[in-house]
Amino acid sequence: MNASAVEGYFEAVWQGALRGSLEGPAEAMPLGGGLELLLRFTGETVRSQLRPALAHLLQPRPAVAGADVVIAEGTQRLPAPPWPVSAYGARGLVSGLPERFRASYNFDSSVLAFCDLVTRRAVVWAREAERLPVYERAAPLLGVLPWLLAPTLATPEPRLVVHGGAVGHASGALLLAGRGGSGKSTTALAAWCAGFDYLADDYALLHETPAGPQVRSLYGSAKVDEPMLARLPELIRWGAPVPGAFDGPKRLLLAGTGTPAVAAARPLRALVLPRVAPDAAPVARLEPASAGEALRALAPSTLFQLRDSSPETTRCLARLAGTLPAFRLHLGTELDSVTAALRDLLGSLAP
Amino acid sequence: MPPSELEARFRVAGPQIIHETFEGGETVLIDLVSGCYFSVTGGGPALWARLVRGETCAEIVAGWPGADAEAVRGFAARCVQEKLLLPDATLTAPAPGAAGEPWAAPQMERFTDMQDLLLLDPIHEVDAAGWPRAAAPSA
Repeated sequence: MNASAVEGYFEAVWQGALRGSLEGPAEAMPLGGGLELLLRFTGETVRSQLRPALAHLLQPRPAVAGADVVIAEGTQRLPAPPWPVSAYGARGLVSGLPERFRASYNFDSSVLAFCDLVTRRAVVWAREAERLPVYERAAPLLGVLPWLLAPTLATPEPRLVVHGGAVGHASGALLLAGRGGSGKSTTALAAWCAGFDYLADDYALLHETPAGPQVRSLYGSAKVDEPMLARLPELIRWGAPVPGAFDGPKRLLLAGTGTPAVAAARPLRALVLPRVAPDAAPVARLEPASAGEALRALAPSTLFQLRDSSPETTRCLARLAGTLPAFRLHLGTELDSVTAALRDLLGSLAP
Repeated sequence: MPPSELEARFRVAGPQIIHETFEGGETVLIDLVSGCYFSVTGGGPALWARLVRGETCAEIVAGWPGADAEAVRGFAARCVQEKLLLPDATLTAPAPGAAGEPWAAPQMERFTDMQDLLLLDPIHEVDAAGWPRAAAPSA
């Protein structure tokens, strides 16, 4: 693909995104270790749809004129792409781009994610912001975050988005790893209702610091279903619906509702691999898991779901799996026993 | 495995194959193209390590007391069949390795639950503005 054509197209998209109807200051999304993303929403609808799930992290930056990520909407200012339809691969990832660019187009949500790795700028453009699917509203920017986390001279510590949940206390957190349906959301929400700090139920940020790995919250939202709401009625009182119509599994906003905390970051103490079984015993139980099992729970779903297959991502996940203790969590039908098991585990791992 | 490949040397099939070995005795292999991933246990991690450092099956059997020749060949053949290893005629014999662990039969378990994440979307049409959309289902 012609490099100058793609470069010119990125600039056209970037300038078009900045010319939205909404003017206002950028907001900072801290990612630990001094790294933060400057976000700028330039459309009213897309702001109202995507900002709430990020709001617990955002900090005003009124003096900053630029942005790292511009979130735009509409079709008027978005030119057609220079790449052919055949360039779209699995999950809308555009292949054949020059090395410095990444792009994907979600056919379902009509959202373009486009990133220039060299200038470290990204555009998220919702062509139909009024009908963004609930998964976009609950987990905004998921398409561009992995592209923007590459270490730089100023922020050399490895960071990666992982497919996993996280809960904890001030002393540390547990990362809940496993494929979809393994029980991550149930475990995370049961823990939140029992007084744990909530960080994530599906996607979290891992940050390797000199003091050890940290897990960071990305979204103040969580996936729920009717059986879960019946088992955890606090969710109805404490959570707020993600803005917009429900069009799939429900998502609740947990942050900013004046209820138990959604924490920004905690030291990571262990990997927990939830398991649900139709014939589950009443009482949950933990048992040690091998490093290989932990990597199998964490890596494939992260690599394939987040389209992040860089060698450094795999090495980082392998380091975590190889150094942190890992435990299988057989979910019991009594959710109190799940949170009791997690509490005991965190207590035993406290520094 | 054809007889000609019994004396072959192998390399990891490409950057799409990720492999990590842990002290506890497991190698995890992930194929980023197919979406399959594998757990290799028993004597498998040591056998995988010897294969990817360029030893032939015959050299492995000769240098590993008690090694089961059929199991070694079978494991190498499975790795080729799963597109984890490729024969590479350009490789030469590696320097002798350190004494290995006692022989144990290799185990390999294959997982395919991630493959649906790699399925291509249906063929797309382009709308008037030049953006793709899912093809309308045929009547």
